[in-house]
Amino acid sequence: MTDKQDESGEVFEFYGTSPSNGKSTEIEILLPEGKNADEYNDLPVPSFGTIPRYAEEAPKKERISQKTKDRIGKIAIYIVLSLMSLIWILPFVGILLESFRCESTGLAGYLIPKQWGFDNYVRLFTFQDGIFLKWYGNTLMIGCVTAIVQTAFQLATAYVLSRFRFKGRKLLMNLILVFGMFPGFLTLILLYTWMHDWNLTDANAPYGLMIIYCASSGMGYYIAKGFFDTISKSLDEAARVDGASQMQVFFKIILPLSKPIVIYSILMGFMAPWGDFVMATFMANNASAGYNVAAGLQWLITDSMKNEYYTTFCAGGVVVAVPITVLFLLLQKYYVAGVTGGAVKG
Amino acid sequence: MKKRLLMIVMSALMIVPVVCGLVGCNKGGDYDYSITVWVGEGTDTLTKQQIERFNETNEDGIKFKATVEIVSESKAAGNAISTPASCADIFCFAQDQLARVVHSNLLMPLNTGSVKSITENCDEASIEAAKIGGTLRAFPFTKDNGYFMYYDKRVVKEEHVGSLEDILADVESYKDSSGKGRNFSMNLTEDGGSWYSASFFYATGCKSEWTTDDSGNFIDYDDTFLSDEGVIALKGLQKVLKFSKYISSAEVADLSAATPSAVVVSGIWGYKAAQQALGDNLGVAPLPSFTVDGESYQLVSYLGSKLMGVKPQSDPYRAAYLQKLAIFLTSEECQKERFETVGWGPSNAEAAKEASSPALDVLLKQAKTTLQGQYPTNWWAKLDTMVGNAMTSEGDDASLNALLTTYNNALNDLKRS
Amino acid sequence: MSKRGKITELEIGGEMLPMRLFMKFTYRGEKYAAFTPAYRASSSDEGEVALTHIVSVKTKSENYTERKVLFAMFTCIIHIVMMLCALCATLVFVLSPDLWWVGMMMIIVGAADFVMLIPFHRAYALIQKNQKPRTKSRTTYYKVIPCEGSDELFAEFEIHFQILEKLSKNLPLSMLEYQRLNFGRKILYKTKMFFLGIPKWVAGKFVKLGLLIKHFGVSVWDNIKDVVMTFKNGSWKTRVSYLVMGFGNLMHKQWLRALVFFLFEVAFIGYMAMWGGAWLGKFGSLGTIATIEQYDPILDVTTTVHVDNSFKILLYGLITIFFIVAFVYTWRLNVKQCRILDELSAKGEKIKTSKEDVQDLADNEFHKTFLSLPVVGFVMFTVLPIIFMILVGFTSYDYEADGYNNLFSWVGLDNFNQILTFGSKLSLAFGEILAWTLIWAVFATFSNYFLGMFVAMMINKKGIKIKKFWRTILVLTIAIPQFISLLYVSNLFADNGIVNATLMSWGWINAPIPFWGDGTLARIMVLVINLWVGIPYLMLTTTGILMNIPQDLYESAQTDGANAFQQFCKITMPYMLFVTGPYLLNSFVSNINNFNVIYLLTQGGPANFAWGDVGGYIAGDTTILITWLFGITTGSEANYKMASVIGTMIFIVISVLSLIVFTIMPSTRREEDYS
Repeated sequence: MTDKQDESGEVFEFYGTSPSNGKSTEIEILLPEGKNADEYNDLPVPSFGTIPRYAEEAPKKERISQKTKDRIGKIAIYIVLSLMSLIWILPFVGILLESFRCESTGLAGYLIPKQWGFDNYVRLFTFQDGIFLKWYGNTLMIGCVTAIVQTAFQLATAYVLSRFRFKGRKLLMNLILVFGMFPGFLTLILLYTWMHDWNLTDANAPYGLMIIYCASSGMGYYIAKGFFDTISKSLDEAARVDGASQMQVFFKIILPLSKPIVIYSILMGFMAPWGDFVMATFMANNASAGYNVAAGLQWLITDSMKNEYYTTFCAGGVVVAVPITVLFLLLQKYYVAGVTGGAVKG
Repeated sequence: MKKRLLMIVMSALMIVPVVCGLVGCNKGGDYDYSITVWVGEGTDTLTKQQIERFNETNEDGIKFKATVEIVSESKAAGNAISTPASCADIFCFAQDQLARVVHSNLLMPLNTGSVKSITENCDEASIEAAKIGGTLRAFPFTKDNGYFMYYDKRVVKEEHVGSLEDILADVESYKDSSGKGRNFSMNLTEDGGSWYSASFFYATGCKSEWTTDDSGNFIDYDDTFLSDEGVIALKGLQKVLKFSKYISSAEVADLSAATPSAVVVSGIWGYKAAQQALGDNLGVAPLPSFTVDGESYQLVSYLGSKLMGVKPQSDPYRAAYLQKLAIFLTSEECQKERFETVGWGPSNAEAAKEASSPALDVLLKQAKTTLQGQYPTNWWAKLDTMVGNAMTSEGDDASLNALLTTYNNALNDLKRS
Repeated sequence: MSKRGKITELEIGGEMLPMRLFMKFTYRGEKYAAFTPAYRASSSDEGEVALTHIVSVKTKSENYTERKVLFAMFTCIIHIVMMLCALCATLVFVLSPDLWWVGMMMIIVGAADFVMLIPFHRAYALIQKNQKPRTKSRTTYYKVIPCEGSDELFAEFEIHFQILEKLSKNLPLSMLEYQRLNFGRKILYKTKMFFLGIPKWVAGKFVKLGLLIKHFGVSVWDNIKDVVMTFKNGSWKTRVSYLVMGFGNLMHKQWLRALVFFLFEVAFIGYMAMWGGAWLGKFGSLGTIATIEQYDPILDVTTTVHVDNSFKILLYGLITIFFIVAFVYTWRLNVKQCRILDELSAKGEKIKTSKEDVQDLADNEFHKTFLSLPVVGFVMFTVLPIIFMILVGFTSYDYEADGYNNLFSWVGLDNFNQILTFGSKLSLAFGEILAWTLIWAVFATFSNYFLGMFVAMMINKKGIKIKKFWRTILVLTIAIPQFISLLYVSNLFADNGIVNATLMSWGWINAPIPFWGDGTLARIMVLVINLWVGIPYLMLTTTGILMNIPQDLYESAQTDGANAFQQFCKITMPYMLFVTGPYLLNSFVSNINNFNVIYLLTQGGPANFAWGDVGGYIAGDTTILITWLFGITTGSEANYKMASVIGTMIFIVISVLSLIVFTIMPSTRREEDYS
């Protein structure tokens, strides 16, 4: 026992990092990288000192066969995945079930409705003269316009920053980086007042939102730039030699190759407005006609509305989520390509 | 196949909004002025109808094109103040916000016609509620802003409703057939909790009165919360705050929630929901009294009004007509309608005579009520802070006194000259 | 005689000398000791002494393995202890949020633990590779003998002395020298160098800044000189274009450029005359009269006319300044172009026609065409608003001085003083919210990262079926807007929500669990639910990268007998960290600004009354800076000036953190430009 402790003390010193033990200084050098201790086994053993004797090695324990091990591992993974799927899907099933609840409209302590029906959906489309349709239309409009403009802006910025070298390029990239770090909300109040001057708030909020979403969308150029960086420059050079202008190079050669990133940008641009309630609520400023679905549905479960509209909110959630989800799942491939590229390129 | 499907989806997505846009085109009309009106939940349709009726019946033949938006009275003032440029032309707000609204110059001075109409038709308390520094500044249109107790008759025995301790004991011991207990709901620490918690202080005889000048500045105060009575009030509050089944909420929906509450302290706006939740088992009672050191104190409810304000205008004609519209919207006729549709208690003396409902009767006939005055917004926040801290504080006099001292020290900052 | 265990003295020439006079080092698996340079210097006979007094302590090379085993065990124990520490600290931190500093300590412990992990794995891997562990206790004998020594050995010593000297003088080591240090010393050296480097780095920045200013000054001076010289030497066309922009271009038949210049000038002058001058004039005071009230006796009403609006003065004043800068730049461009045109025509060279200009926009100048709109949008809707909001931090803009009914004015640094005054409630709240924000960001980033990677690895494991199904289910969280799913989840866990109701109906609990009502619980809940949101993203992201790892790496590792855990630590982790380093930084930043999860779940609550209120908003235990900011801006007493100050602070925090990470993380320092 004592011996062991001594050993460990020695070992610690061997790796010790204490730089300040009195006046003495020590330097230890580990074995050079890539060599192992075996190589030194044949060094001459000094004639003095005792060569230690080791006990015979214990016989190997019987190991569980690799196959069984694999199978156990797999079963464990299946169990974990199934549990996860359950947890992940539960809220969505919950929303769906609650949207069919007819006996009450507020929060309830159970999932499965006692009375099934489409009451909530009917209510969703009829309350306040069918204002939900208006919200839906607003959001669709914003989504479509944003998708197009944002894609154009992002591709343009990314392409230029990827292919051209000009004065101020570095400055522009740094500016975008720095200003991207600012919390965006801060500018809400300003943007509201500004847009208010042009009558693009309240009931006209969707138009104001559109402008706000689109105007700065070039800032999210990173992913597209990463993509363009991977397209070989020899392609453009060959085309340039053949007499194509830069514009032709982009539209005729690069763009057709960029389908994944174009679809990714469109998808992102289209989806973002569906989830944004902060900006939308703020810009609409009480004028419920100017809400998008996010702002509208969120309004339905504010404290004063919740009791009457909770299940309607669930129905609205389903109506909003289904098309978006279908679209997303169809285009999932492009999304994955985009985020993976983004993660790698930074 | 997939591609084609995508194309169809995408093009459908592109076309629909265009159609929506076309359908949503504004139809032109022969209106003199287009205005925005903010009203509380549940009265938007009614208000639209009333404005239509005003358009048809007014002598000047003025037609308003009104956009009625739902902004709850508790939030309207804050909303108007934070974005004054886009405040509605006519907006409804809770009475305690009046000083702030006046201070932010968000109310047009009332003309003689309006003043006359208010003083002739409204009852004394409501008129007081609409005054700042002795001047009438807004149109009162309800007098029902107070709270009382909804309870479940199966849980709380009728003879116990007068005493907080008995009620709490009833709630604690109750178990229904499935073994589920009941909660006690009173909003003391959530948003707006101070409006309810003040009740305990008024019960013990504390007061906090603030004086404003004509432009809504709080120039002086008389506050006796830091006193022995204040300590007693905090002790009473702690009885509720530390009660094992206490929920900080004023939602009537708690009565039918997953873990139902047997008692909810709330106002008349919840009467319908409460009836839906409990049916025949619903009981309505005035606030109870609580006992500290053998002495009993009757809880006091605020009683306030909702006010309708008119935003300052640059066009004198528009200003004059808007005042006329406001007079109409707060008239006896409209108040009666409001009582019939949403059950709001009228401030109009004539209308109030006829308005009667179990909830309103209980509210107005409480043993003790106090007229709600004007308080700086931060006063509520300070009260909230003190009550919030009382939840975790030890119940001894010294620590409660410390809380009251902190509160008291903060008051001077609220004063503005 | 032999010595056992730790060496305290060495026998040299029959004399017992204390160990502190020697430096020990290991060379080729053997231990040596030599006099320290200090002792050598003090000793009478130099040179000779150093050589003759070298001693050797020989240990068996097998022993090496055993040391490794013991070391591995030791680090393993430390590792476990550290983990326990971290766990306890987490519990303490989580159970009483007031002790946030304990949480900070936990992060340090976690970091230390991470450092400890590396040698642990190194040692462990060596054992696996070389020998079966021999744990039988045994005695080591040391004997001190004079060393005959070889030239090689002496050379080795010399290098050691040099390293020693450099280390004691804090001089930088060469790469070779650095490699000779052991692991601990490497870290120590790195850390020391990092901190020693800071002043130099700061100084470097200042020098750079100075150079920048100088450069700027020089270029301004050059420009002025050029403008004057051009006027002096230029033709009359050029001189006219000093006043009428584009005149020079027109004379040289570049009518398109001429038109653009001229229109810009007209627009500028028109704007300045009609509005710009007025806005700029009031910019200093931000307005004097807010409203004028007038009584109309006939209609018996009081009307109110708004005069000045501080908000708009600030905004349009700023826009005017932007415009002026743009105009000066354009004017300078105009002058420069005239000079060049003069020179070209003097030389008789060809001048570009308008047609060629247009063609150029689609060709050589294509980047200008392409960037124009995005950049204008960026400047108008991002740069301008942000500068505006920073300026607001220097004014008295809040709900009372709203700029419309009551004007606001410049107040200098007052607001910053308020938040930075130590001991004030506001600075207390700021400090604690900042701490929680950082903890939240660290936890959210790393828990998502590792668990997401773990899930991705599970799904991608060979032989797992219906991969697409698992993936699709997880991806639903991304597809469905967060405001729907998170609001629903928030209600699930409400006091009256389904979770509580179900638990109660099962009889597990008597009173509802206050998932959102208890500060600690709420913090845990947001972190856990954030996993629900974040894992799918990471799963998708890492899937692609994991697939990119060359499979032969794993195969060779398998033949070497490495188990799954080793493979993860040795191959997967380093690869992932290297590739996704920048991504981690990004997601850290975006977690600091992760508004949705916090706001939709708890709205920042439960309220923490100890902090008091800012702008009528009482921050709560789960409030992070960004939700605090939102509460302050939209609260009943919106305090814009404070929001602006806090926003600026968030920016500073984020940029400082990014800077640090960028400096120490090698994979992020990658030059973005590669051509």
